[in-house]
Amino acid sequence: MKNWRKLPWIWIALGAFALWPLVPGDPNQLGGKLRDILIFAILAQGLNVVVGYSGLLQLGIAAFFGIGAYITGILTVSQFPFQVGVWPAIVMAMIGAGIAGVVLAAPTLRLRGDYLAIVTLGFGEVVKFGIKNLENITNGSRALNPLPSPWIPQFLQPVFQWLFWTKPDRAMTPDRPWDENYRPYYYVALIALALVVLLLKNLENSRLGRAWMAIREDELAATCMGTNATGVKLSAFAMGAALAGLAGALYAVSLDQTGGPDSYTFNRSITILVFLIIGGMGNIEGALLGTFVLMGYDNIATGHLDEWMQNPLSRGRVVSFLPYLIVTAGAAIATWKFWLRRELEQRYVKGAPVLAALFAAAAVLALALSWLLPIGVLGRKLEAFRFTDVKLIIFGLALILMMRFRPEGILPSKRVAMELHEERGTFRRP
Amino acid sequence: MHLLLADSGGLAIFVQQLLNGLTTGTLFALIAIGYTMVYGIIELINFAHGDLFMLGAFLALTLMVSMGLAGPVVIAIPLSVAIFASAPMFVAAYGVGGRRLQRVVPGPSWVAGLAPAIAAAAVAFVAVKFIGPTVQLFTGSARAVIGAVAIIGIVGVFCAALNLTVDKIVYKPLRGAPKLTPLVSAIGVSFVFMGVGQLWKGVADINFPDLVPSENLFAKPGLGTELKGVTVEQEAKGFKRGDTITKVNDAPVTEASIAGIVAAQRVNADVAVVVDRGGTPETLKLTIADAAPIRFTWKDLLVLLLTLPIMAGLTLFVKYTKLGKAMRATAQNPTAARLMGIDVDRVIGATFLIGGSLAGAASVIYGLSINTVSFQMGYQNGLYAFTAAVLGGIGNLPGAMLGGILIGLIRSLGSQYVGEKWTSALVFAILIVILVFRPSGLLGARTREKV
Repeated sequence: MKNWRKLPWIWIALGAFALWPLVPGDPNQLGGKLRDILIFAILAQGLNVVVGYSGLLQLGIAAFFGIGAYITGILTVSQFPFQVGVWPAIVMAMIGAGIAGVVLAAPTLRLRGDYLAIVTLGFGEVVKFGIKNLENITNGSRALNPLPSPWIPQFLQPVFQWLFWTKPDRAMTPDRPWDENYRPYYYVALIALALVVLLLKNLENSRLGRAWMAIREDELAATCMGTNATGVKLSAFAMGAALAGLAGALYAVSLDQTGGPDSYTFNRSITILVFLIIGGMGNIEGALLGTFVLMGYDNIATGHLDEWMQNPLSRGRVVSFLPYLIVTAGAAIATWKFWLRRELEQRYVKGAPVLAALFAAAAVLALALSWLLPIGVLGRKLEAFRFTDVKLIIFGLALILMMRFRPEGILPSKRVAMELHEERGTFRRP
Repeated sequence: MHLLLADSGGLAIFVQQLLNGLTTGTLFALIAIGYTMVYGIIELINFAHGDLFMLGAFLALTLMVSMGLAGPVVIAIPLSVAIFASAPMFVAAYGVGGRRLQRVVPGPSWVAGLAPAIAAAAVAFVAVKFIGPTVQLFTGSARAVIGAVAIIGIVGVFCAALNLTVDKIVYKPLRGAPKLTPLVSAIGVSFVFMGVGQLWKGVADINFPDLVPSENLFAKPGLGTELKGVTVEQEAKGFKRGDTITKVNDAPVTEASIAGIVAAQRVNADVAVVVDRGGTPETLKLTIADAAPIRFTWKDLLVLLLTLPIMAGLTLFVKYTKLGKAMRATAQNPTAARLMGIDVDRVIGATFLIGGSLAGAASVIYGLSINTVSFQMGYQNGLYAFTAAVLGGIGNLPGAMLGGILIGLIRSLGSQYVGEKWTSALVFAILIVILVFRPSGLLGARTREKV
């Protein structure tokens, strides 16, 4: 067990994702949500190349996500004469988004960090309003739809059907075979994510990957060593944008429509950045973990928690909630034992952990009390409490606490962690 | 019937849009100052500033309801709101006064910090609890004015204390960390503020009480070209060509007196016009419309009257006072400033206080002039204000003012000449173009990256 850290966790996780749909009796809804998580994991990997590897703060990743989605839409819908089919369209979306990344980055790369951030933010807004207002091309807020199903070779069709429709609960329709359940697009997204991870794993240690990190750590020193800083930054932007374009294309294809302009806002960019930061910047595993945990909480767990809050005592609810409870409690205990306690004791006085525990207990007690008794907090009945409503607060607190106690994220890249703790001279093992 | 007859020529429209742009622009500038001051001193893009502005507007809304300025008093201020409002002051006082008291008061540090904190909480509670009834002693516009002033004061103090509190709790432990770390914390604080706003007032747009009249200061009552003469020459609004006007408001008229009678009326008042079409005289009821080519309302005046002195005062403050000088020194070089005996922490605290109070004042002015608030207003306006700060050169005080006014002008002129829906895209496109050619903003100094 000593080398458990060295196991290929990322492939184990992706393998688990590959096996999950084979479990019978699945709720279709949950599958769709997991598929979205896989797609956004690709987007997070794209952002990771720009922000994590190269250290360029990019606040407009949603723009490239949207460009990818809309290139796919424009090239495939019946409204336009192109209709090239989904697979070529996805490739074109990657190329187009990559080119857009270069076009944005080329004139603006000489800007200093914060100015670059605001330019990317501004670009994101321009793209959003472009999508909204160029109604001849994008249909405005009605979005482009329907996107056709992808083509697969004739001889694969039976395999395809056998793989995805053998379960009795799903009917077959020959004209749109991809939309009968979530599985086909789920696997497309999973394969795409696996390919992206493979690509980035190899890039990480290549000449280009090392150049990206060198630029992040010290641009001047890297330039002195002969690295072409502009070229390296451009390639990072292009790679990040292309991966975002891929994610956008998959998103549009899996939804059968491009999603309105509201899917590509600043909010989306910031959310992806948050996934990255909480997970661990500059690290493939970290970006994946951040996406899975936070999107899982946001898209899946909150719904269940809310249902449970509404009707806590019914047995079905308790049973459905148990796995969450066990996982959360386990995570909390592990965090406490291995990390938080030592942190608090090192940084503060001896009694700090006790104080924190008391506060937590008081909060839980208050919550439980106000839940059992018909009293309100801030004039509201607790029955009306929704985890969905406090999502922003929870995310915000998570960010603040993370930056305070572990700025490198849950699963940091060793080099990033070292940079962030430079003043201490030593690197703490994660 | 409403007769709009102002013959707004091209120039009038242009001047009108300039005025609109100026008023919104000064508001953006007021928020942008908060971004730029903080950035100038600790190089942090304070993403939470816009949401602080939103919370200020929400507090103002709650205060208005409790003061009876938004119709009848529905509720007295609930204790929870008072506690919520005083909590930041609590912490701020803890941070400011606690340190000094610790030297004299024995025991653990929190005991010393508690005294000023309790005092602050008491003051906040008294202010929130008793200002409302006091304001209600007055009536009419006196109540509105006194109420507005009180609210600007309370909200300003609240936002300042909240901003300082956030600095002490969140950003201060991160001084000296890589730049991305406090930036992400600021995003986190922004999320928390937005979440609190969402819980507090919900997600829908809320009407802010219409305390300031939106009457045009340059109002010029008029009925229209068709009433220039006794004989109507133009077919419009119930009139036929060749109609003869015999009476306006029961007064027999000549060509000269029509203008006089109409001008004596107030805008939006009704007049009865009797026209003779050969048969029986017919009476038309008309509403007097505003014939002035330019609209400049009390609200616009309020915005300019409040924002311009604030900005002028701030400029003088930074230029001439000792603290202002310390701020400029810290912005130039914190280490050198510390070596010269400047208490850098105190300067940073003062910066957060000033920025926060400006955001608070701006939020009340915004509410009074725009009349719609929502939990997302902080994000939207914060984005514009931040863009303004960057446009002028972030860290540069006059730059923020110039940037804010420029953004206001781009928005208003853009909505007139390019199209309403493209204004936001236009703002950011212009920002990108300007930054490409002047990478440090319009007034920003061209700094070399330090090695």
